[in-house]
Amino acid sequence: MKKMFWLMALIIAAAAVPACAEKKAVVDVLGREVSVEVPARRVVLTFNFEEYVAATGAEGLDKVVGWARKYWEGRRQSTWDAFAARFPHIKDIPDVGYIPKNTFNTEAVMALAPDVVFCAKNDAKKIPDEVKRLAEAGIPVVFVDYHDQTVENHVKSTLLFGRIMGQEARAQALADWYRKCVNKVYDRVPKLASRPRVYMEFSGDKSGPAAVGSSWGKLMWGALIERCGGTNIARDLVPGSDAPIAREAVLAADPEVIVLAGNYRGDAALNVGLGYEAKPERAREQLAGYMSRPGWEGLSAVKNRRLGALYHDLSRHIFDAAGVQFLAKMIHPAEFADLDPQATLAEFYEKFFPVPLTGALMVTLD
Amino acid sequence: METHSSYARQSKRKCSLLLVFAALLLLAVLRDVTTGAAGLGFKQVTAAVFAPDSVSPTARAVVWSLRLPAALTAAVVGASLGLAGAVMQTILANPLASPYTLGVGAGAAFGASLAIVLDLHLASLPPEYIVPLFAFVFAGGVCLVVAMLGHSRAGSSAVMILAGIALLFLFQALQALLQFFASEGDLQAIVFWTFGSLQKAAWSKLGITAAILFAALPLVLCDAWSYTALLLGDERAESLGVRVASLKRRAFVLVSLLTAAAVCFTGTIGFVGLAGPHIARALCGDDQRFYLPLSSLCGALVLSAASTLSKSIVTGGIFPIGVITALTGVPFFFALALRGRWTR
Repeated sequence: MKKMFWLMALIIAAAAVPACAEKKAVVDVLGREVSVEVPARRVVLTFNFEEYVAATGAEGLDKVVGWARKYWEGRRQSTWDAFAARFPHIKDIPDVGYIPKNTFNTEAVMALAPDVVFCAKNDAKKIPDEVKRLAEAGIPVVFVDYHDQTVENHVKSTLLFGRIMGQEARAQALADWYRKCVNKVYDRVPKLASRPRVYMEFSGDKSGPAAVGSSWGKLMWGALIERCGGTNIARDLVPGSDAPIAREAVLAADPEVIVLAGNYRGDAALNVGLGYEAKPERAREQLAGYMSRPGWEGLSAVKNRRLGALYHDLSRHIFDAAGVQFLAKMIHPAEFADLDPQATLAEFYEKFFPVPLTGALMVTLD
Repeated sequence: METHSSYARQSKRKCSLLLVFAALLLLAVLRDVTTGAAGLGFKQVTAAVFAPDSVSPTARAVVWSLRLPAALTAAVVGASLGLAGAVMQTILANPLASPYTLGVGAGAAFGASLAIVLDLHLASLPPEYIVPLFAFVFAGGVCLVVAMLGHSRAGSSAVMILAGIALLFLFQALQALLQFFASEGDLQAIVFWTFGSLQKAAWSKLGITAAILFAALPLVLCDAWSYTALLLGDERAESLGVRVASLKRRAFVLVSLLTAAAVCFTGTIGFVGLAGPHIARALCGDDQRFYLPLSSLCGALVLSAASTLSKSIVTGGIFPIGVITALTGVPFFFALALRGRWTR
């Protein structure tokens, strides 16, 4: 009888603990219905930290019990440094491996007993077995997506973060901000008469103009060029997501606008070094260096000095709204004269990102 | 007398074979230079070459800065790899020997990847030369290690081949390790390097590769008789007065330089070093006076044709040339094998 009593007490106690949190069904971006304890108190992140932090704030950061450290330490070093300075405790958050490198450790995730694991849609095909095993252990995996760069998935993913983490109001404000910023471009593009020819290239090799970087076909920047009212000259020349196109194909296509996607590689590099450590004057010099490529003096874009560069990471993120506005303004300067992409970015940092905005992320020739 | 005239006839036939292949190479390079996304047919290209001021600056840039260096690089790199493969097959007495089967390509790829991942800055060197420098050093290093190991065992071919294959696996493993730690951007740079490309071709780089080819070619040909004697086996060649050990040492230094200079600027372009010599042997036999230059010409021809093909598959896009040489080379190779014309 006494045993029975204790057992009953235990059951009641167990039932009483999650009183503030309850299991709720959510639908992720893959359309999977997942049952998640809401609001989640223990979270594992494998991708999209920037978006998670923007949607849930510093409070959200405190709930991260494990993550793929490789995603930003080393890979997004300057963002990592800024966060580590502001929130020193993030250096102690355990690593669970990085899915794109096939080092995702299911056992490490289970040991952390999270309420939810957030993964990117991009990685879904790499971890079907892991997702199943985690589900069997009662750990739900929720997929979010910013890589496809659709307004729908950006908004949906942001709201998922908010709902699961109990930050609905903040996430809704972020999603509304995003929609407002990109629709300033997307609403107007269908009415534009012209579709200027645009060439975009990744400027990441430290030898700069001497190396031909990748261009994008129908994905990534390639998709954004078209959505911002331009014609991507590499559209049908790049078979997969990105690859360099022939140097003379650029000359043959005679682009009217050239935009480089830059990445900071240290002071001695010749590529367009944009990023949180970059200086705008230096980046502009590096950009101008590209005009001396063989045959480029004859290109319309060079003759009219319509060259620009933006930080490569201003795509496939919640703050890509600034990248979209920059690109649209490069392609249609008169029609989008009212847009201020730098102010858009500053607004994002001020309202949603808990670290300061530094460096240079967007430059034009003049 | 009968034998003598038949020998003279044969030699004459082989001489004309060399001339025919030189002419074919010229045509292939011409075809290469007149192919490309910017259109420019034969007339405009010749105008741009011989009267640069008569064409538009764009056409001039296309022909002089892009097409000519790339087309000539294809020919020179193919010739270097063909010659290096031929010399390797002769001194190792093994038809499988080539710069790639013996780890030189893997060494070059590892060197290039290392430079990409370490992201070094050498103040005195333009950044676009750092990756080639590393590739050159590691490719040459593999050759020299193979030669040294062989030397310590009296020039044993078996030892050298085993050493080469061991190094191939070693560098492949090291390369995998680097790729594991590399960031996505570096990883992509490594993958594109290993695809092989003529896109980075430039006159200055072409100059280096060509200088080494044209310095090595006469040196190799001077030894042609000794190489022919070597086909009888190391001991017999020695008894004929050939100083085998020093011949092999000399050959390996030349092979190191040729291969390293060829692959360091273009990346992994496999198969040419294997295919060139085999095509040459099927056509003219083992007489090294003809076999060596013909291997070189065949290598150049194969790579030049591949370069044209790589531009024709997707106009304006770049189909990786290393993939083409392997994909088109293998069926051709099988056909040769099935016709039973291996002479070795």
